[in-house]
Order: sequence, then structure tokens, then C-alpha cells
Amino acid sequence: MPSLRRLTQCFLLLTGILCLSACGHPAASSQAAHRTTITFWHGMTADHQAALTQLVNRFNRSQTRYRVVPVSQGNFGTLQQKITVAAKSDTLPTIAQTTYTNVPNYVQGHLVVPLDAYLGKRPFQDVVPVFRQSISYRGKAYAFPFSKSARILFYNRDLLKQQNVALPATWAALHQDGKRLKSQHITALALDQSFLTELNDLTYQAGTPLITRGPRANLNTKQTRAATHVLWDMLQDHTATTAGNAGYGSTQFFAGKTLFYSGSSAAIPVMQASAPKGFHWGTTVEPRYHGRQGTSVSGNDIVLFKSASPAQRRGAAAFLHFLLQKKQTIQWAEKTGYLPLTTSACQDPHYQRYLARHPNARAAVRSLDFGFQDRAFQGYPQYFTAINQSLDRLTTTQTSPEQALPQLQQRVNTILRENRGA
Amino acid sequence: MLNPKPSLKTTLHALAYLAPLLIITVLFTVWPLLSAVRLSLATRSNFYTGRVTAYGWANFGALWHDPDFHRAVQHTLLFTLGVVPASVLLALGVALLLNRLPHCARFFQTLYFLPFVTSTVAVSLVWGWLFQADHGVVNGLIHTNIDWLNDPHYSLLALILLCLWQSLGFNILLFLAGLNHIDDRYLLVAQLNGATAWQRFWHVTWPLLTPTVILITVNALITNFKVFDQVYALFHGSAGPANADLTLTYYLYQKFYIENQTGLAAASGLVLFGLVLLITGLAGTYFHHWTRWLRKDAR
Amino acid sequence: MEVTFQDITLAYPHQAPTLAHFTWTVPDGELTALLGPSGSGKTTLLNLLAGLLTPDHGRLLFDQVDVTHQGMGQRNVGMVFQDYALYPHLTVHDNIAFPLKMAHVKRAEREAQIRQFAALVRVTPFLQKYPRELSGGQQQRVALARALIQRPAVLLLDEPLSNLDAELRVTLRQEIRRIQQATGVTTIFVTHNQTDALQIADTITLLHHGQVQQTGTGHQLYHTPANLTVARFIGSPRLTTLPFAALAPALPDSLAARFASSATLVGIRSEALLATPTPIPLLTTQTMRLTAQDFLGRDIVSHLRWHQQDLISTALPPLAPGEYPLGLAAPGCYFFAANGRCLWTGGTDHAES
Ligand SMILES: Nc1ncnc2c1ncn2[C@@H]1O[C@H](COP(=O)(O)OP(=O)(O)O)[C@@H](O)[C@H]1O
Ligand SMILES: [Mg+2]
Repeated sequence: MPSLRRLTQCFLLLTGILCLSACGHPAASSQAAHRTTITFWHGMTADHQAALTQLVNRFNRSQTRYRVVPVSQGNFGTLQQKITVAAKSDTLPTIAQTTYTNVPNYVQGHLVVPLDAYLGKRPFQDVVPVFRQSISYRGKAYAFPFSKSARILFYNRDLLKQQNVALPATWAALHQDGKRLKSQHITALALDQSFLTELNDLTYQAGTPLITRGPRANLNTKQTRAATHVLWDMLQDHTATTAGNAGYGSTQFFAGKTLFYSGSSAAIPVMQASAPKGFHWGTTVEPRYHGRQGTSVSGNDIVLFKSASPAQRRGAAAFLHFLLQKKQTIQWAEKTGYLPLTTSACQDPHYQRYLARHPNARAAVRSLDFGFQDRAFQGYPQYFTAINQSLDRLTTTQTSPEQALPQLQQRVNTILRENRGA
Repeated sequence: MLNPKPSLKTTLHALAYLAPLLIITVLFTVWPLLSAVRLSLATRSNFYTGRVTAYGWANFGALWHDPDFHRAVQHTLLFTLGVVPASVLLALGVALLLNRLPHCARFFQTLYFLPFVTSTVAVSLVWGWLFQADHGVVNGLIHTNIDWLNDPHYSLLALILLCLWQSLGFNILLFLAGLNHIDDRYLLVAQLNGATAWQRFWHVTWPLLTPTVILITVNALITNFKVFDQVYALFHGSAGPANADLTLTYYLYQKFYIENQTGLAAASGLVLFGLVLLITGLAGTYFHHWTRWLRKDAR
Repeated sequence: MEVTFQDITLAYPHQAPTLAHFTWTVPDGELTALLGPSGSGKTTLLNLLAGLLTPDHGRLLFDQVDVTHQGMGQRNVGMVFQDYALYPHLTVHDNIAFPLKMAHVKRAEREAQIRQFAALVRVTPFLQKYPRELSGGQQQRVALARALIQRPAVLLLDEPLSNLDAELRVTLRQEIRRIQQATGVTTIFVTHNQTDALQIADTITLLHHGQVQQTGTGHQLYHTPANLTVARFIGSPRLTTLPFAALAPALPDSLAARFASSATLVGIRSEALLATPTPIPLLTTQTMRLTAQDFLGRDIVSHLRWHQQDLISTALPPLAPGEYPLGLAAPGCYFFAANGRCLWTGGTDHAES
């Protein structure tokens, strides 16, 4: 039986290698035993994961007390599910990537601890103001900003020149251009599957955000209806399209018959990699509405779980502190296309030189000046699902804002009421 | 000592043999079911700590009034009705043909079975491509320009087609096994008795195949009642345009993982469980009725 | 209806022909037993008749009509399989009704016939039962009724009794005989059991290696076998054989001389060796050694030794072992040629009859 012999040989060989490697580095393993392990669940893959690993390695080399072990969970969806399951079975990591909008729920579940006690207030002072908005919940810092991006407008350089269109300063101008270009079978604007971010921007620009203090939902106000109509009218007269099942509008944008694509700056690296040959594109900030600028910022944050030991918590704080340092946050931004986390990093000459070399990265950084984030509240995920469903109805069925928004307001009211009680 | 009378000792003995399976069943079926019941009755609770501060029927009440839940039930029923009869009949037809094909039967069998063993993600990717509005193969074949995956009128049909195609191979395999089980001589006798091809099918093959048909139907009903992967993959983590493909299991997933509505999720899970139980029960009764001849104590 | 196989050749794939230039006629309205050892081609013949097989060569005639290439449905052949093949999902009633239902016979007419045939095969009390609930013999009768109700031109019974115990066998043999006589349908009864064939049949055809060895009544086959195969197959205990040369010196001179050149083998039935004296005319009387006796109920099988030959007799009374003068009667004594053909059958010359 030659195969059995082969198997035996392989087994012996493997055992040998294991023994050798186990005996080979007694110093290294005992040193590792001294260190406190900080597990870090994240949802990054490919290039982003590589960039993160680089940072982690540098941190691990930089000191002797802690060791960060990054664990990729594949994507943000599974990461979220893993956290839910781990919370139930007491197997949470030390820290994990998540969105700050989950914080209220985690606080209610007694899952997370505030970072202030371990990180102090000082490191947050340099954080870009718009990111600072989302750190705190009920007066305590829970969410450390990490992989952040802004909504920007991509444009097709050649088509713009060919059609003699200027970059739109306002949503109205964009719509006007769109109407003109329709006869040429050119679509003005490609949107992602949902236009929630754009609607969010519009209502913010109008000075009447969808959710205000309280929290209170303003989904059926005159202003919200008007803002919804800006987008809905464009969809109705086909000057704008949503991506539908394709998910992202970039596909349509790359097909060459679309002038603009409103998307996340986080998409820049992917778009660079997947743009067709000879396709020239640029980025700019989102148009104004009611004369005001306003861009929603999104992305993921990092939370520290209560299950971590004091040493782990201190280690996590050290790691987060490390991430905020200029060198690290700039490298992170340059490698991934996410935004630098601190004001000083944004202004750093090194980073400015980078922006000069990569003009496409500029729009997002510029947007930080007038960026904003949704407020987090108990029931946010339900609200998010509800509003996305309503907008989906607006894009895929014959429903008008006048029909959809009152229902939505009612539904969200219920959600808010139930969560206040909880 | 032959046939010892059942005593405490022998009963314990038997129990010891059954224990592993019993423990597994309790651990992975009964316990979660009880937990789900508890969770569904909790109106005020902390999912993470497991502390429940108030019990009541509110979750079921919420389901009763939730239009999304109604939609999920409606879609699940429509979907199941769309897939199961078609899948069973098609599979039967193909199996009957393959049964007559002595030479390349294995080849075709493998061909039909492939979708079943291919990952749902891959299958959905391919179908996502086939269903494309502009250059999709499906539209090309039937000369339409339907936006299958973005038009709420068609997206459930798209899902039905995908699941139909995916489940066909397995059902064909089961039918072939069932057909193999039927003694050829019954068909020979029927032929000698002057039965035409159709009469042989209707009066001999079909009734003898009833147990298989019921088994396949019940299995297909249960599987399709729980459809989730295909929705998730085909619509990239959404429930289709305007929730047109929101199924019960997807509803459960959404409530649990996305909206943190654990009580509602558990309640909807129990409703699903009840529906499946009902179907299985009905099918069991039907089976009992139509297969009297299988039992010695018939009538 | 008369059935004729005309010069039929049939070979299964990758095999020497099972039937080669086979010719056989089954008389109309009679119960013919097709007797032969296992593997002799009996089932093959039935399958040819039923249309399950088509011959490579030759013709099959039903009353002079060529049906060689007719389908199963057109031939109107009734068949009962060894294990009956009753539809398990139908009651006895529906099993019997099946052929009529297929032919779209009106319900009233159908019910009348079912009653008639159920009564004929005596299964009326079981009409509402399923096949599983019946004994083998009851199932057999149902299968018969189902085959008969379609008024077949020929009824084929393939080893219908081999799954039954001895007692039931006897009863069902008589039943089949009775039913055949009541209906008058041409019936072919296949069996490897000579008792079944002898008991039941008007005529017996003995088949061996795909060849008809002899056709005749049971009496004919037993007393005037056409060849060694027939003589050996029919009769119990089996025919004893010894070289003609060994017996020739003991035979009357005229007889020995007449067959000296042609006969090679002598066959002796067990009842042809008698204790002397006896009124029956004998060919010869020889001193033989009785070595043992087996007592099988009514029969006593005596083992004899004579000139280095083993012989068997069933006509001796209980005797102690020893030497006895025994007589060889002419009936039951056969001479065979080298090719197995029977030359002489104890005075009733077969070759000339
Ligand atoms: N389906 C078949 N394929 C090949 N050979 C067969 C088949 N059926 C029968 N035979 C061969 O033909 C011969 C006659 O068989 P059969 O008609 O079944 O004999 P019987 O019924 O007298 O026992 C046997 O030698 C058997 O091996
Ligand atoms: Mg046979």
C-alpha cells in the first residue's frame, strides 16, 4: 500500500517539523506569553487588510507589553453577526470594528465600556470635528473613528469636456444639465442602490435634518418632501438612475454614458483598479442645496468590549492612541483611501503633498469642513431599515414621496416610541 | 434467554444506546426551540444578558400588525407555490425520461445535479448575470426587456426560477431512486393487461410512486419555506426591490441581525415553525391516506 | 387458439442462441405443460409468446396469423408470473378489474364480470383486501382471475406453483385444471416439476437445451420416451442405465442380435425389476445382490448389485440383504442408440409408433 506509506511519511515529517519549530524559538514564545493579547475583529479584506496588518505589526514591534491580533471576519455583515453571537456566548474580542450607530444598542446590552477612562480626553481633541460628533453617546466616548469616508461626486472628465458642462454647484444646476443632456442619451447622475445618503445631505443642507435632537423624526415635513422631490424628480425624468441590484452606481458610471456618480470616497481605490482603460474621471464635493454645503460622513469605528480585562483595555487604548498618531493615520489614509483622522494629519505637509499627487483624494478631505454624521440613538438600525425600504419603494415602484413619507414618519415614530420605552 | 421482558434494566440499556442522539436532539433542537419560545414571549428583555423583565404576547401582536410580516408570509406562500409543484412535476418528467435512457442517463443525472452541489453564492452570481435587464440571457431567450432583479413585479419570479433550477437535480435523483424501486414487472403486466403508455403511468407508475412524490413534496415544501440564502445572494443582502422578495426567514434574519429585534425574530421563527409543522402534518395525513396499501393492516 | 412457433431462432446478447430453429405447436383449447429443467428456455418461450421478446428469425403464428412483430397489447395474451406481480396498491377487486378498466368496459358490465371471475377462482371474500393481506395461494388465484378476465387468446402460467407449499400445490393444481376446463382457454403451464406436469396437463412438451424432446400425454412420455433425456427426466426414482453390452448376454438371443449393432445403452425403470416367480412375462431372470432397502412410506427402494452394475427396484417386498433371483420385465426396459434415440420400449416399439 504505497499511499499508506506516503501518508505515514508525511505524518512523521510534519511531527518532526512541529517538534523542531517548537524547540527552535523558546525565547520568542516565552516572551509572547508575557504580553497581553488584544484581539481585534475587523471586516477588512484585500488591500485594506494588508494596510491594517502593517499598522498592527508596527505597533507590536513598537512595544513589549501588548500584542494586537487582528482577525478578519470577511465583511461587515458577518462581522456584525459574529459580534451578536459572541456577545451571547461570552466570546467577544477585545475590540472590534463596528459603526457608532450600534453603540446605543451595545450600551443597553452592557457590552461596551467608555474609552475615556483609558484614553483620556486629550487624544480626541485633535480628531477632525466631524468625526468627534459620533464618538460620544450619553456623554461618554464609546466609538473610536477608524475607517471613515465622505460622499463625493465623481465625474467623467471627457464627457464633461465634450458636453461643455461645468461642475454643478447646486442640485438644481445638476438637474438642469441633466435635462439638456437627455436628448443625447446621456444620464446626468448615477446613484447607488439607495439614495438615502444624498437625501440625508439635502435635508441637512436645507437646515432640517431627518433626525433631530430627541430623537425626533422629520420625515414628512415640507422640507423633507421637497428634498426628496429633488432626487425623485430626477429619477422620474431619467436624469438620474439608481444602481438597483448592481449595488453601486460605479458600474453604470463606467459604462460611459453618465456624467456624474454620487458615491463614497471609500470607493476610490476600487474605482481606480476597475476603471476601463482610457476612462478619465475626477472627484468633487457634493452640490449645494439652499445655498449650503453639507456632506454626510460614514464608515466604521472601533469599540472596546466590557469583557476585556483591565490589561487588555489598557492595551487597546495604547493601540488606538497609536492609530491616531500622525504617521499612522496618514499612512492609513494613503494606503486605503479612507480619511485621516486628525486635523493635524490633514494639514501635514507630507499629506498635502500626497493630495497634490492624488487629486481624486481631495474632494473627500475638503468635504470634512462641512461634513456631518447622523446622531446615534436607540433603534437606529430599525430606523435605517425602515427609511431604506421606503426609498426603495420610491425607486422601484410607482409610489410618490407624498404617499411614502407619511407612512414612513408614522413607522419611525413607532420605532422611536418603542425604543424610548425600552 | 430469548426475548427478555422489558425491565428497568433493559430499558436503561436501550436508553444508553439512544442517549447520544437524544442528547444531540435535546441540545440542538429542543433547547433552542424552548429558548425561542421564551424569547418570543419576552416583551422587555436584554438579549445579551438574557434577562427578561416582562412577558406577554406583544411580539405576536406586533407580527399580526406588521405589514412587512404579512408580506413575508404572502411571499413565502407564493414562492413555495411557485417552486414546489413545478419542481416536483418537472423533476418527475425528467426522471421518467432519464429512466428510459439507458446510456447517457448518468451523464444527464450529473448535469442536473450540479446546481444542487454548487454554492448558492456562485449560482446566484451566475443568475444575477443571466437576469440582467440589458444583456441578460433570460431576456434574450424570451425576447423581453424585463428588469428581473429591480422590478418588484418580476423579482419574486426571478427567485422562483433560480430555486426551481437549483432544486431540480436533487428531486430528479430522488425520483430516479423511487422509480428504480418499482418492479418492472408491474409495467409488463399492465402492458399485457392492455394498458396504454399513459394508462401505465397513471394507473401503475404514479400510484406506486406516491410515497416518493409525497416525500419529495414535503421535503421541497420545508426547504422552500425556509428559503434565505438564495434571496440574500441574489439581491446582495437585501430582500429584493421594494421588499418584493422578503420571505419569512429573511424577515427573521432582518429582525434579528439587522434591527436587533430579537423578540420579533423569535416570534416570527415560531410562526415559521408552526407553518412547517402544519404542512408536515397535513402531508403526513395525506401520506397515511394514500399509502394504505403499504401497510399490512390496511383500511 | 392454436399457437405455432415456426423455425424460431433467438439469441440473448453475447450468447450462443438459446433457441435455434425451434418449431412447436400448442394445440387449441388444451392445457399444455411445458416441462424442462431450469435454464432450458421455458421462460424465453413464454416471453416470445407474450411479445416481450422478438425472435431473431422465424415466425410466430396465432391461428395461422403471423404475430411475430405485433406488440404486447395487440396479442391478447394473459400471463401469470411466478410471484404473481399483483399491483400492490390496488385491492383484489381493482386488480381483477384492471384489464377491463384499461379497455374502458362500462362499470356495470365490469362489476358483473369481476363477480363472475372472483367466484370462478374463489376469491370473493377477499375482494376488498390488498395483495399484502393474502396468502400465496390466494394471490395466485387473484393473478389467475386478472389474467382470465381479459379473455386471453392464450394463458401463460410461468412456474405458478413453485412458491407454494406442497399441500397448496396439490389444491391449486386441481384448481387450475378446473378453471382451464371451465374457460377452455388455450393454456401453457410452465414447470420444472414433472409431477405438476403429469397431474395437470392434457399434453406435455418436454424441453431441453432449447429443443423439444417430445410432446405427448404423460403416459406416452413415461412409457414410450423418445430419447434418453425424456426417459431420464420423467419418472421417479430416476431411470437406471447400463451398457447394452453388459446386459446383452442375459437377453433373449433374437433381441440381443437385433440391437447388437445399434443399441449402446439400456435403461431400466425401477418397477421393471421383479421378485420371481411372477406371472408377468420376463426378458430374463438373474441372480442379483440386494445391498440395502430404503423405506419411503408406501414405496420400498431396493439397491441392487449385478455384474458391477448398480440397479434400483421399487417392486420388491421387504427382504434381508442377500442374493435373490430377480426378473427383468419387458415394459420399463428401453434400448438407446449412441445419439440417445430410443430404439426399443419393451415391446411397444417406439420408433414405429
Ligand atoms: N435476459 C437474459 N439475458 C441473457 N441470457 C438469458 C436471459 N434470460 C435467459 N437467459 C439464458 O437463456 C437460457 C434459457 O433461460 P430461461 O428461458 O429463463 O430458462 P427457464 O425458464 O427454462 O429456466 C438460460 O441459459 C439463460 O441463462
Ligand atoms: Mg424460468
